[in-house]
Amino acid sequence: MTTPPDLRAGAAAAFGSPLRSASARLGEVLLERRLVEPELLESALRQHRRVGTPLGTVLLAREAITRRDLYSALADVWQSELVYVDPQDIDPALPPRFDPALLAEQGWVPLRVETGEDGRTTAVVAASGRPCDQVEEHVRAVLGVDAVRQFVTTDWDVHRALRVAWRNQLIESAVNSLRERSPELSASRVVTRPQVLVLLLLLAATVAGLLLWPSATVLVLVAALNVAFAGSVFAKLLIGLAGIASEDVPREPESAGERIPDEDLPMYTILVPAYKEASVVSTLMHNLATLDYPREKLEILLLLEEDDPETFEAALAAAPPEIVRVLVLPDSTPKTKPRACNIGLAFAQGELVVIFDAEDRPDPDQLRKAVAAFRDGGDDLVCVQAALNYFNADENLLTRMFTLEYSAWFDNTLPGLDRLGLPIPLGGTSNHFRVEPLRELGGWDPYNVTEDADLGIRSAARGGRVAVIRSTTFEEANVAVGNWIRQRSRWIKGYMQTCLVHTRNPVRLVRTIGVWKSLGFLLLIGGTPLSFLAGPPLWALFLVSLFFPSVLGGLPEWVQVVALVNLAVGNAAVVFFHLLAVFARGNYRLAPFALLAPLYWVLHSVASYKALWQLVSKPFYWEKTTHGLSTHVHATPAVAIPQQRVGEQ
Amino acid sequence: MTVLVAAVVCGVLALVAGVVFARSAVVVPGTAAAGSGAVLVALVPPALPGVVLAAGILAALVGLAPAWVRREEALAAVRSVAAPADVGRWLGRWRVDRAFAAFLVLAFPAVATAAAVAFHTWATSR
Repeated sequence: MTTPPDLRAGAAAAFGSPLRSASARLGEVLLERRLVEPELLESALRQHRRVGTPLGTVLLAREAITRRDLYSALADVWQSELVYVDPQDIDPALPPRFDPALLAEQGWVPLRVETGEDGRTTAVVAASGRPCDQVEEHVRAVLGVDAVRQFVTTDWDVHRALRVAWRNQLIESAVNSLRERSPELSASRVVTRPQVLVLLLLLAATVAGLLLWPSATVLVLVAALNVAFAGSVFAKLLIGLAGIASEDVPREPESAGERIPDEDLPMYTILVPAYKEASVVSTLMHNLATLDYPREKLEILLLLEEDDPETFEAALAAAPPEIVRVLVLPDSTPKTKPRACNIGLAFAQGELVVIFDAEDRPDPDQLRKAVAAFRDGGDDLVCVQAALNYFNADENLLTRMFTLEYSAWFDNTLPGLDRLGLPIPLGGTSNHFRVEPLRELGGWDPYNVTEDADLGIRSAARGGRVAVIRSTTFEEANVAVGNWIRQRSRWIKGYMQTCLVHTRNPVRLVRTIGVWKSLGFLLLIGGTPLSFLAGPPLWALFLVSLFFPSVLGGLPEWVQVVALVNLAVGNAAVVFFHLLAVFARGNYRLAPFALLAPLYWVLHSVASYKALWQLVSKPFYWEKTTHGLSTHVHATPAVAIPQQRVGEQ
Repeated sequence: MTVLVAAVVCGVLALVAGVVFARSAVVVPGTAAAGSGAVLVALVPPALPGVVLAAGILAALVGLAPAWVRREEALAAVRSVAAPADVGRWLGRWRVDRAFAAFLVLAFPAVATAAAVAFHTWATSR
């Protein structure tokens, strides 16, 4: 095969001038070994110049070459040798001495230490990058060896070695990093001693009051409950109105001129934690393929669990492209999504990271919108949240109610919080982060079952900001009541955990995020479970007052007025915001169902009592939501994206 | 007298905001119209039928107004939602589902307020 001269020049430019002499050879080596055709190399070089990613990455993204062939050629270029790393061959004494996060970030692993006949010690290292002084200095500093030999291996070999040989450290870091760094912010301890003391004192006072002064105690309880409920209703009303005021309806489709050039886009990591999702994992590949982002700048980490071979097999059967990396996570407790995400975060190579669930259908331009939001949002912008909505809204009454609720929450409440400058509890997926601040925050709390809501508050406490973007991810709404209650009880339990964690030291909370945000946090995160829990006793009181008015005749009139206002305004506000929600997306057909919102509220109360029970009995238990039950899951996604939009020319 | 003046102000505000809502395809004035109508009914409960009738007429306008069609087209382009469907269309441009949703938005607060006032009156007079 003859290599055209212009291609040689192009290949020479592939890695930039400082490394020209060595890197120039990659294209030549690939041609010499007949690993790529000249036309393909020419096209890849054009893409490399256009997008700004290494030539090898372009070829891998196009699946034009296998990883091993690429790294074999790179080893030649870097004048080194390619080695296969068997994790079992790594000296067990080495892992405890090296931080797996650093190794994952830099892409190398130490293999062993050899002692020569002359007594000189040499550390053997395998790296997926060019042999460099930085690695050598680090290894020398840690091991005190006389020399370091660096071999080349694939990035996947490095990751597999880390997952196997650094298994314990990875688990330790994912599970206990936040707990050790900031125990006061970890939900690993459900309640602190002062909180227990306060709760016991309140309980004792209530019991004593009921025994000694029953009427007065009931009055105080009813009044306190109603006042707290009124506070939550008022907060939701205010936030909802602010959300309406911030309505931002586009008058015309966005112009192509706003599109960020591909070369300016950062590397993006997509984390997809999937547990027992064999039925939907294959659709994930299709859904993510529709993303309008250069493939060379995408890294998709599919986070699977060791004890879930079905999903692993389904993932392999789906024949994921090269940009998808399947990470089988070491088994440990708590087996939660945030734990999986923390391990994924350790391996993430992107500047930005986003979480999607396995059944998610994100808007194709979501990543670009997030990049634009970060570009324009300032350094304190840590996270942007996309709206969530459902693709199976019309499946049954529950999915209609769920869709209305989500529309009200993501299209109205979150923009309202944003407008009022209140902390935004993140949704379960489609939250996009800058990686570095996220790592500084300690990642997700694996003990918190609404780790997303908690992270939004922790971010605010550190001066970080969360914003919302006008993009949507479509998910599968629960079609079965039992499944819905399982999911909702987890969310409410998480809100309880989050509230308990951040009110351990109320003074510190106010000092770190201010009075306004603290109030918003208490009324929204604390008020939500409280209002669900307060529902049944207040309804019971209402029924008693309706049929036996004399029983509650002793209640002062102001308490009765507050109770009536809560009942009327609370329910009317819920219905009204659900009604308005249909205008955000033109889902007018759902409007009549908004009138049923108070009945939907009853389901929330059922879930809240289950959540309270689990907070006591199984605080870290992750109630798994079963996906793939909808008849719409296996339907062809609604959005068809031209091939060009995935970043290929 | 004060109640009457307040009721007139609310009535005018509800009508003006309602017309803006129907013609501009923006939800904010719709909220203002609905709120004003509710306050009007709280002040003068017998005004409920008039408020509901006005809501019906304004909702009919919402079902027709071209601004709503443009809004839906823009939403469909930006949010990957389905383009305005034929379902719910009647007599060409008129959309029954949009008009009914608008009617509920405009009338519901007034009806809920009337119900609350009636309940309170009944409860206190028992």
